Amino acid sequence: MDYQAELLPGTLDLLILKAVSIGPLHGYGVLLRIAQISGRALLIQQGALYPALFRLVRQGLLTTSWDKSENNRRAKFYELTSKGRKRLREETDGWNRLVAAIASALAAQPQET
Amino acid sequence: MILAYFRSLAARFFRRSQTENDLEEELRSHIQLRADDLERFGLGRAEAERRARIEFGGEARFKEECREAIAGNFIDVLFQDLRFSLRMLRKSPGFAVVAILTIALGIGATTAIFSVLDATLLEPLPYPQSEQLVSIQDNFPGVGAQDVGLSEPEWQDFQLSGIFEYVSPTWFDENNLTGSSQPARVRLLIVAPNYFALLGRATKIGTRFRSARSLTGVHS
Repeated sequence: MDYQAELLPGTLDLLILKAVSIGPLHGYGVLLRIAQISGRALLIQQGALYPALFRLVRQGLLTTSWDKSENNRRAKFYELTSKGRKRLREETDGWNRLVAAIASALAAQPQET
Repeated sequence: MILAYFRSLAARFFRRSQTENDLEEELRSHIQLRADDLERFGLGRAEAERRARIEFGGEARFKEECREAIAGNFIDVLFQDLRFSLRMLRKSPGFAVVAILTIALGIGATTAIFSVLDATLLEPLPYPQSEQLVSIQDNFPGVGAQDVGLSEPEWQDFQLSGIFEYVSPTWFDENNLTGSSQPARVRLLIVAPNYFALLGRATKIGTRFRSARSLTGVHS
């Protein structure tokens, strides 16, 4: 079995925004999309997705609508609002800066004096 | 503005069952969709649904977290509401004053009425066996007269009936007290000599009546 990393706190919201930025998805679809775009490297407990989705809706970053799934089941679909799109851009920039900073810190070599 | 606020408050209250149904249906749909996929991998339907439920994790816990996410943290919402109401009150000081006075008067009146009720009805009278104290009222229903008072023979009848240990008439009065340098207005309660025995208490100052003085027609 492949090694799956636990999510860092706060990163689930970012991953959800990224997943639905490609197109409207129902909750289960969000999980599949995250698995797909992360190369199945991230471990998310399925139920834990929903509180995060509801939080993002409450913050006005996602809108919802009931629709038919690809195999004809009724499901609630999530879509990015313009506020959500803006937040995704900001969070992506913030994340990239953080990763770059940590990577450069970890890459530092001991200096001989 | 205020009306709109109350409307949204009511909506939040009544729509709760709607969001609850939505939540229920959404989680059920997730498990069905996951089970569909597992079925495609070759599991039987029942086993697929069982596995889907296990993979989902603690449903009750996540539902609770969802409810919190929908409603917002209770304390947060409470503070938002408080801040909002303070802002509205500051915006219309006239309304604020009227509201505060109304509440103050309401509390005051309620407290006053409760104090009276508590003292007169709820608290027992400060006499031994005070539950045995009764008030006798004489009515003439035929002519519609209430509390007409007792004649002296009637009082004696009650006294001798054996129903009561003591019977005493009471009569509130006010009169002038003279004979000292300053006359004073005093309030009186005219009673029979057995009044203190009836209450089971001694007088605070002065002496009790001597019972000989209760004889009919005797004045002292």
